Amino acid sequence: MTETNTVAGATKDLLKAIGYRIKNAKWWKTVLWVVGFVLAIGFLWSSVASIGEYEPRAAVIYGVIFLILLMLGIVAAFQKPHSARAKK
Amino acid sequence: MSEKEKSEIQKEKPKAVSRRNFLKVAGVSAAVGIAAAVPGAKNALSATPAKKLKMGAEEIYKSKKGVLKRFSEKNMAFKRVSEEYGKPWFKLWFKNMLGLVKKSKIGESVPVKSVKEARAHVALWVGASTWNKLSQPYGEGHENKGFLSWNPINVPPMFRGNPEPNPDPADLTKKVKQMARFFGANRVGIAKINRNWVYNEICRNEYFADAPITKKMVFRDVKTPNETETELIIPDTVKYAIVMILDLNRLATQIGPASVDTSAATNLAYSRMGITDIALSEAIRSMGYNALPGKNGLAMSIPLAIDAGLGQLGRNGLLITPDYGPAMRIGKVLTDMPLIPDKPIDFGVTEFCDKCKKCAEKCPAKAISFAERSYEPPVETGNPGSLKWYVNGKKCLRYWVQSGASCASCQAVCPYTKGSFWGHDVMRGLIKNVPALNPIWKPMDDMFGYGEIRSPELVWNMKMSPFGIDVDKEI
Repeated sequence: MTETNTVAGATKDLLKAIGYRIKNAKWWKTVLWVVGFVLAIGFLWSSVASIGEYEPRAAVIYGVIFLILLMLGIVAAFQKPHSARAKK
Repeated sequence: MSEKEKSEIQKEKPKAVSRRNFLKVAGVSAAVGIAAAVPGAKNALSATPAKKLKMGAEEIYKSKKGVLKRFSEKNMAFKRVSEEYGKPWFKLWFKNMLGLVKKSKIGESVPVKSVKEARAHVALWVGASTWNKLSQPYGEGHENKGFLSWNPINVPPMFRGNPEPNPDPADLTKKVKQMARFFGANRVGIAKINRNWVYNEICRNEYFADAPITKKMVFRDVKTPNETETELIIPDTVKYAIVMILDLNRLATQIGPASVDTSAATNLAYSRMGITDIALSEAIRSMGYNALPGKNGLAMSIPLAIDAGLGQLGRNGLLITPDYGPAMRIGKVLTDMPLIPDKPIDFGVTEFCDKCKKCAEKCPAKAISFAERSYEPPVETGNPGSLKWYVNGKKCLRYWVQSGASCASCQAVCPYTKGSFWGHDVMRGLIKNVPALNPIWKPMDDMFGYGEIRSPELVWNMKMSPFGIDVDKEI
């Protein structure tokens, strides 16, 4: 595991990791990840903004959608290494 | 393992990142990326005109020639309902309000904890309405009176009626808009006056339709506006209206459906209008031109605002603006200053209101129509001859009197009445550009709980900005 102690170092590592993944992943998976990421941030933002607007029901609905996307993302992210190990 | 070997291993595993650093960088990247993307998205999706419409009422309104005429102030709902009751509607309204306070209520169906609490809400209304009362309340019937004078009040004599030669309309338009904003208007537009929108007569006695003090309002070839025993005379050269939007506190309008807090929000906008309209008039006079401040009087505000490109007419009979929906009030100043008129906008309101009908559903007075647009109003408080959704003004105002408070239900529940969050701009962009989706927005609006009635407690606990306006929209 690479040890990095600075934001610059971490950025470099992250970009390399993303580049590696993009290079090896199917294009539609990359698109799906980007869309999912943007949507998740959008819904989280909407939830926080709705609290500020005193719209509690909207805040809960946006929050739940964010959590669902987050869970899907986590499941998808951890699925691949396991299946890769299984193939070995 | 030597240092060299360690570094080679590191080179072979570029994808290895600690979870902590990943989250650190992902968070920073997301924040920067979205912050950069949002202003662009807002510009693309906000309510910039979808279709450029040609200037002139004929292009915006479908009207029946010979039927559409200038409207009389006598037929305003406030006057007609007063006529029904045999006394000014306001007196009954106020009596009912005070009766409700004794029952710890700030509206017919809005209870609060105690009489003490109810008095605090009434105090908010009293304070908010003070400058409205002092600056000729609401404007109608007060044309050319007091602070709404058609003549200079505080202009140095050397500047009166003495404009600089060779005026540049573009430059004057820019300056006058900046002034209006400086004096407190949230949005400003310029309309070329269609005389159909100027009242043909005014009713000096504020709330009695058939009181003897009525005066004709006429356009004549005169240099300055003036008033006789029987007429109010506007110079023919007065060709432009500067129309100003004054935002209401959105949350206060949602306390109700009719509550003293709603009255406070509305009255504060009229009080502010008492500053913007009068200050702008004085500024224009100081540049040597005539200026006639209006508030609600003088001319019909909504069609002027539509001509000035500030919004479109909704099912609830109100102007729907891109930024504030219907939760705002409209002030105006008529002038002979040479200006460049704005173009009307179309951001999909007609198509949206056709499908939504939320205001009609939630109207406690059942004053808003579910039907298609028509040329005929249900009662004389509407001006016939324009294709639009007419509201039954009498039913609406009777409900105000019964509630002892102003009702703003149609403003509160309108899906266009939203905060300043960019997500709402995205929705408005979709309404404007993808009308096929219109049927889904109202059920979604309901599902998300938008426009629901709020607790009066919110008035004391909400984040309060100056004048209670949504400062995030002031860009």
